[in-house]
Formats: sequence, structure tokens, C-alpha cells
Amino acid sequence: MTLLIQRLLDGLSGGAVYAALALAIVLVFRSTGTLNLAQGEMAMFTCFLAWKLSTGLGWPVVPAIVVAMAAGFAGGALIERVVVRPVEDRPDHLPIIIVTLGLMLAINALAGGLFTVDIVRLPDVFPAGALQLGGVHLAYSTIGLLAVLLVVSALIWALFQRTRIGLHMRASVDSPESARLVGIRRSHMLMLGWGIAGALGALAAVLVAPQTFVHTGMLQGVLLYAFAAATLGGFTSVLGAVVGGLIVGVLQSLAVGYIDFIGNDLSLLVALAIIIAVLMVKPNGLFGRADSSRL
Amino acid sequence: MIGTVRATGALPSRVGTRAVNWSTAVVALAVALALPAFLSGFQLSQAGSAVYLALAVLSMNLLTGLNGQLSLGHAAFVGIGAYAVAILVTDHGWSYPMAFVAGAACAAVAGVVVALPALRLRGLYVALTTFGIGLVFPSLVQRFSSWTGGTGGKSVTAVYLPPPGLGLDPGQWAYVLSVLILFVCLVLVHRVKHSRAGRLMQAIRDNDIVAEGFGVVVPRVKVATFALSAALAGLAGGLFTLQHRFVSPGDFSLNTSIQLFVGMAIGGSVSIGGAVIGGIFLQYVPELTDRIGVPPIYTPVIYGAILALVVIFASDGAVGVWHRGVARLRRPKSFAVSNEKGST
Amino acid sequence: MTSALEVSGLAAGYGQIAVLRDVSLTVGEHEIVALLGANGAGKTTTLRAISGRVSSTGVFRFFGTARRPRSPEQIARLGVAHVPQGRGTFPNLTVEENLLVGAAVRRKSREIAEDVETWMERFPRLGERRAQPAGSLSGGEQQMLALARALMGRPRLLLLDEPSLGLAPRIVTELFDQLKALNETLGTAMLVVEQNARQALRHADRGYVLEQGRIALTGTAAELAGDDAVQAAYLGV
Repeated sequence: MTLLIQRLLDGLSGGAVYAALALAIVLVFRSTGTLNLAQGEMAMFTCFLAWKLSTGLGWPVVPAIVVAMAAGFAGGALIERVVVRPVEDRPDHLPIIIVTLGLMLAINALAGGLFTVDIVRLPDVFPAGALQLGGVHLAYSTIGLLAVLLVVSALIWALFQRTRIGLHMRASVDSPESARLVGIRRSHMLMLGWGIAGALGALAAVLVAPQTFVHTGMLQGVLLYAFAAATLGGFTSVLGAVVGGLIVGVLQSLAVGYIDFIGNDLSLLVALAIIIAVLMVKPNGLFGRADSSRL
Repeated sequence: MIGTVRATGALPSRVGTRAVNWSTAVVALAVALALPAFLSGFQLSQAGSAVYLALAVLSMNLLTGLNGQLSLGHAAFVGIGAYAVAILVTDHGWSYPMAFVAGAACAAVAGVVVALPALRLRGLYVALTTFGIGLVFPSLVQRFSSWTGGTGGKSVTAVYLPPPGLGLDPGQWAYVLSVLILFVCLVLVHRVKHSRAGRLMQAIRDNDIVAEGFGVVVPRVKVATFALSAALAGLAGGLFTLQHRFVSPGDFSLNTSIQLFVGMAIGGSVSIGGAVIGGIFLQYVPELTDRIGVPPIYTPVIYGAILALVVIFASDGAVGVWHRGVARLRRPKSFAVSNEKGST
Repeated sequence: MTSALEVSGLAAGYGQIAVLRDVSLTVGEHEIVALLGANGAGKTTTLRAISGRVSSTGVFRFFGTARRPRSPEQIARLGVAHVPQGRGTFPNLTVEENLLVGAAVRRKSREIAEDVETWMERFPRLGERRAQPAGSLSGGEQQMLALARALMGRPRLLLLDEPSLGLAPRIVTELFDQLKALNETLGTAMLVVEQNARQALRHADRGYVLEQGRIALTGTAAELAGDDAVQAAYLGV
């Protein structure tokens, strides 16, 4: 029983990171209607930036993270403007996917070349140690991760539901042509969507860094989990991304813990299985809308 | 989805077919077969890599160029073939030819397993699942490390001895055999393309609904194409094992899949001969860029840029960018976006 | 007097297909102008070209300024509101959110909030459904919403594409009465594309008849309504 609770908690902790990256995926999907395969590599790059600032220049870790998130925002917006925009108006969205595939390759190599191909360590954000609750370790980092996720998803929700710019972003997704006819600058909304996604990705990366360490492949597996989370949550839903992330984290923890065949080696297979199962059984996920006709 | 898959550097099929000039093909084959006489062992192994890559790119051309299906994780099928051959010849004493057949068959079966769910998914989701397969494959190798040797890789001790009397060493023989197999596969795909089945594949690529209307069993053709493509990829993996006599999961990672995609984009997805260009590109361009001063670590940046450029500047489907001489796609101005068929 | 809109030599089309060849028209300030024509004559394309949704060539002059903005959003920001055929509401946003989005070009949030209340009162059925998604409204309600949303931008020129399409005759009359009232109280200039030529000419000041991408006939509403050819072709006399 204690072991089960422990595994659930571990799952939630991992799930919080998947949720953060899934939020980024959802934001891009909502604004551009496609998947950004380079989301993980963009995040990895900004994580290296945080590492460079903190260990290279001796910054405290929190400001380094803030700068990394700002860089993630700028990078996301820039990528949207420069490489995604030219193919944005194509009638279907596979060209964008292929462009993001190219980005994935390029950013990975750039990170290796500009920073290092070694595995390095980013200082922890949360204190080490854990609360002991009847034999269960509730790590401070787990509490911290869940708290950050809660705050971030509340902020995203407030952005969309409570601000003018969020309303315009939603309008732009709901009916792009009508949005332009009422004077909403759709191009700005797209850049904003990609920018916020970039910042969220950076956050996810620095949060997961204590477990994965910082290296060019640090987020490839995490990205697949985040895709599983976004798939489960339905690709269009902010709430879905968060719930999906937590569920996927728990499923991973349980599958790895209780199914011997899977173990640690095949944990990625869990993510793939979730993606395929959800797409086959319920393509709109738990919270998705059925109107994603642009695909 | 179909129209745009072709947009990745597609040549129009008409041009592609008529342009196949048999005398050119035979001359190219003769030159390729003559290379062992002129190249050192190391140079020859590089040429052999280009051959294996060309076959892998060809398998993607068949899938994407001819049939409009997408696979972002094709290196997994190459890997299945490579590992199957490595395991069969090393641990089970199979002969290489038998192992090649078995490796291609394994890959084909895996292809069917992937293609079946993909039938029910829309293009974007097929991209996602095949991406996932490409990402997961190395961890499967890890999981079954007692057979595969895990991350450390697996050495293949069995050598495929050349037939006596040819006067070739094993390295040269591996190369010559690879060239012959590639040639046979190129001819095979060419024949398929112009067969009834090939026309069905292309009809599906161009318009699912029309093809269905003419009584084509779309799912069956799609699954069969995927299986054939995976088999070719598996055969390419067999050539990899034959040449390197060492396999490791890093050789078949997601990055390899993406590179194969770049190879296809370079050669033009519809052109069969383009596969050869793609293979040569993937093998020699890193070396070339290294020589002009770009550190090898940045080669993927060039690949990524190429992928983006091909997609951005190749027009939707009809004409490949290489035939039009990088004619800039005349995109509508920012306000001229109206794809809907509204009334006038 | 400057005009709300002057267009001359407008040519436009989709891809290689030319729809409009040489269209010139004027909408005066505070004027309601009807654009009539058979199906396929180019009425919708004319509106789309004006609001920037279709690429076109020709000379455009909005509110007397010669500079012609390129994109739909820039044109909207000049005070041109286009209510497209099929209404173009945001189906997943609530009625209230639709109205707020309509004010995207405006800044003062208090005035915007006041305007929302104004239109809710003016169109009581929208007020009753303010928290419902626009997609759940009936056709007539959506048309009201599209109109109210366009007016939320306080446009100086309103482009209306088939506002009566799919509406019951009683509602059509109501709608045109509303438009006329708006025109009189706010002075909003309107260019109305309408199948229901009788209805349109009853409220319009002037009209144009498009035939195969060209202006075939123009005149005051009364002249057009009295014209034999117009009567035969569009009024079913």
C-alpha cells in the first residue's frame, strides 16, 4: 500500500513536467493547428542557456530560469515568424510538421555545438529532502512541481478566459477569417501562442533537469510523454493537458513499477501505447473538441 | 495530407518515369561495380554506406512518393532488418542470403503492424505515431539486450565470404553485393510503379476518394505498400549489417529517421533515381561540409535548413523544386488567403 | 463631401479565374447602397476584395484617404466592418465574448462594456443568451449577433453579405428596419449585397447591378426598382 502511494506520488511528480510541456504543445496546436515536434528541443536549448548562466556566469538559479523562459518566449515567437509563417497558410499542416522536424534536428545540433555534448547538471530549484508521511516520502520537489504546475495552469487559464488578448487568441483559433475581419492581427496571435509555448517548454525543461540532467537528448523521451498527455487531454484543451499529464505520469510510474516486462527500459513504450490507444478509441481525447477539421 | 507530402521535393511522376534512361542506369551500375578497383578499403566502405542509405531512402520514396503515406520513424524498420540479420547470422548460424530474406520479412511484418492503426488515423496523427515509433525503437533494443547486445551494440562475427574466383576481399564483396541488391530494388520499384498496383498506389496518393470510387481497396493497398516499404528498409538494414558487421541502437535512432527524410527531400520523393542522389547526399555531404570548414557537429543544422527550405519553396505537390530550379513559390500576399469555395 | 468608399477599376478573382473585371462604385457617407446581381455575378467577391480577403487590383479610397492597407485586419482598423455570408460568428465563444471580440480595434474598455449592454438591449434575444456559445443560436439570432458584433467596432462603413439569407420573411423585415434605424441614428454607411432585391431597394438610397463581374446598371433605389430589366431579372415582376 505504501509502495502504491509512493508510486502514485512519483507519477504525479513526473506528470507535472509532462503537463507543462503538454501545455506548450496545446498552445501551438490551438494557434497553428499542428504539432511542434521541435518543442522538446527548443526547451532543451533554453535549459542549456539556464545552465550556462548559472554555472558559467554564476547566476542564482531562479533568475537564470527566468531568463531561459524569456529566451524560450523570444525563440518560439521568432521561429513562428521566420520558418513557420511561410508554410502556415498551406491547406494542410504536414508541411509545418516537416519544418518542425528540421528544426528538431537543427536545434539539437546547435545545442551540442554551442554548449556541450556532455551531460551537465543544473542546480536544483527546490530543496532536497522529503516529508515523511507514514513511510511515504513526499519529496519537496514533488510539492514544488505540483505547485508550479498549479500556478502556471491557473495563469494560462486566466490569460485565455480573463484577458482581452486571450479572448482575441481564442477568437483567432475559433474562426481565423472572422478574426481578421474584426481587425485582430492573427499573425501576432500566432507569434504569441508559439512564444508562450516556448516559455512553458523552458519551464518544463528546467523542472525536469534534476532527474534527466542537462544534455542534448534530455527531453526526447519527455516529449513523447508530453505528446501522450496532450493526446489524452485532446490537443485543444488546457485543462486536458494538465489532467492528461498527471494521468500519463501516474500510468508510467505504475507500468514501470508493476509490469516486469516493461521495466525502466520500455517506459517510452507506455507513452506510445497511450498515444495509439487514445487515437484509436477516442481521437478527441478526454477534453478535446471535435471541430479540429483543419487537420 | 497527400498533396503536401509530395510537396517535399516531389518530382512529377511523368517526368520521373520517362526520365529513367536504361543506358544511364546500366552505365551507373557499371561505374558503381568498377569502383572497388579504384577505391581504398575505407573509401569503399563509405561508398557502401551511400548504397545502404540509398536503399533506405528508396523505401521511403515508395511509401511517401508513390503512395502518399508518411513515416517519420523509418529508421526503426531499417534497424529491425539490421538486428535480425545480425542475430541470425551470429547466434543462429544462418547464411547471409537467408538472413536478408528473414530480416526483410521481419521488417515487413512490423510495417503491417504499424500500417494497420495508421489507416484509421489522419495525417497529423500518423506523423505523431511514426515519430513515436522512431523514438521508441532504440529502447526496444535496450530491453532485449540479451539478443541485441543493448546500448553497447552487437558485433557480427560471421563474414560473408565472396564466391571464389571473383578475386574480391570480403569488404569489396559486401560492397558489390550491396550495389547489386540496390540495383535490383530500384528496378523492382520502377516496375511496381508502372504496374497496375503502382497506379493504384498513386491514385490513392492523389485522391483517396476517387480511388475508392473506382473500386480500389484503399486500406489493402496502403498496408501492402507500407509492408513493401518496410521490407526494403529492412533489406537496407541487412546491408548495413553486412558492411559494418556491427550494429548499435544509435545507428537507428530518431535522428537517422529524420536524416532519411532529408535524403528523400533532397532526391525528390517521387523520383526513383532520386533515392540514389539522396543516399549519396547523406553519405558525402557531411564530409564535404567538414572540408569547407563546417564542424561535423553542425551538419544536422544544414539538414534541418534543407528540410525547411524544401518544404517552404516547393510548391504544393505538382512540380519538384529541383526541376524548377528553386523557383520561388509564388505565395499569395498576406491578405489573399481564401481557400474556401464561397459563392461569388 | 467625402465618400466612405470609392472603388475604381477593381479586378479580382481566385487563382486564374477572374471574377471581377472592372468594377467601380461609391458609397457615400451615411448612405445605404445595395449591390444586386445574379448568382455568380461577383457580389460576394466585391465585398471580399473591399475588406481585403481576396487579392485584387484597382484603386481604393476609404473615407477619402488614398493609402490602401493590404491586410483584412488593417482595413478593419480603418473602420470597415464586413459581415460575411454565413455570418462568420465565433461558434465556440459566448454571445458576450463575440461582442467583445467585435471591439478588437477599440481601446477604452469602459466604452466597450457600455456598448455591449447597448446592443444586448437593442437585440434582447442576444441579451437572454449572452453566456451561450454562438454556435447554439438560431440562424436569425446569429445574424443579429453578427450585425451587433460588427457594430461593436463602431464602424464607419458596414459591408453586409446576404444578411437575409436563411431568415424567415418576418425577421428579414425586422432586420432591415434595424439596419435603417442604425443608419439614421449612427450614420453608418452600408454596402449591402442582397438576393432579396425588393427588400434591399426598399431601404437603400442607391444601388448597383453586377453582371458577369461588371457594373451593368446604377441608379437611385427608386430608379432601379422602376427599371424594366431589374424588375424582370430581380424583382420577379
